Amino acid sequence: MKTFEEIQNSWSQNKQPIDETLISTISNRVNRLKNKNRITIAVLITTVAVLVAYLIWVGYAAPVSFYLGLFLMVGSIGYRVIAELISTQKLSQIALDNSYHNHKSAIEKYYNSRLILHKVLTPIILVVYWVGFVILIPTFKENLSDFWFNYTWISSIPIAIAMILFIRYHIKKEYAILNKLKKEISIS
Amino acid sequence: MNKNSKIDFEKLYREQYNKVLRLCMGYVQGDEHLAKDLLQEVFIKVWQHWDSFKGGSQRSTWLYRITVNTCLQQLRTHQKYIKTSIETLDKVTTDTESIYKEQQFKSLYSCIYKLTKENQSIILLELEGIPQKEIALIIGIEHNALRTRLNRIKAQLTKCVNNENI
Repeated sequence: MKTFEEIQNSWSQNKQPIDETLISTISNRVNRLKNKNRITIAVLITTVAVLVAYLIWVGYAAPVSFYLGLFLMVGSIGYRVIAELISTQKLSQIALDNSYHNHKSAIEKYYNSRLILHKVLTPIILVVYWVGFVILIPTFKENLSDFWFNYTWISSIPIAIAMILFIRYHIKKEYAILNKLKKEISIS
Repeated sequence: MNKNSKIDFEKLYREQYNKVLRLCMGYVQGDEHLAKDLLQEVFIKVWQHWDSFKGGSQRSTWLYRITVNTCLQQLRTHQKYIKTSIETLDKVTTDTESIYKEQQFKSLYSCIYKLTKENQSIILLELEGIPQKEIALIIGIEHNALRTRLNRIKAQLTKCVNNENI
């Protein structure tokens, strides 16, 4: 291959037999993706319904602090889950049939918004979650045996560490993608 | 997707299979297995966005835009597509001509991989023989700018391939 034309000629000669089985695989995967979305929504609705029912049942004569603590804990996690779903939805809405440059700009904007989500919104949500937990401690102390009370607060430490590691992992992941995006374009 | 659209989808799949596969192979240094994974992702997106085609351009231009954007997005987000060396194209070949051809493709993929992702996309589309005006639309740059850029990439690629073959 001495000239570009020779390279181009060899390139187009590289032909493979068409994989007919892939058509049904694609069709099945599209259906599975649709079902996955439906299942996610169903799981979320069920979780919220169960939590609301639990709140009404357990907290019937409970003090206001119980409601407040539980609301902050459940609300913050629920808000984070919804923010994640909206973010995922935003990614799927970025037009794929746009030019590479326009698509890349939209993707960059999306990952920058993800960084804000991880660096600003998620830490605020976690602070709210832990405030809720602290508010609930007196209720835990009152209603749980010493063993379960100790178990609850001690287990909260690894949970807190896991949450911090989760945020760190996602920030690193989004930065890695943004760095890759920066390197894609030639300077000239 | 209705019945007619499904027939059109299958037609497009069969017509463009090799072009899309070669484009995908160009992004993953000729790894056929990874390229087929990419091709599958591309056609899933094509299926999902089938009705978004407005008809302002050719269906093929629309498909190549989806191919470039999907392949690059997969490369950004999935580690499995990032290869450190070319251990591909190792089909069992016995005759000297096939071995020579295989070696040439290895060096070609290696040279393409050295380019930026944007330039990889441009040269892969050019290798497919897609008209330059269409490539400019797919990439999103002016036709004149593309022409100048393309001449430089072509020269760079040809030089690299010839050096690798020495």
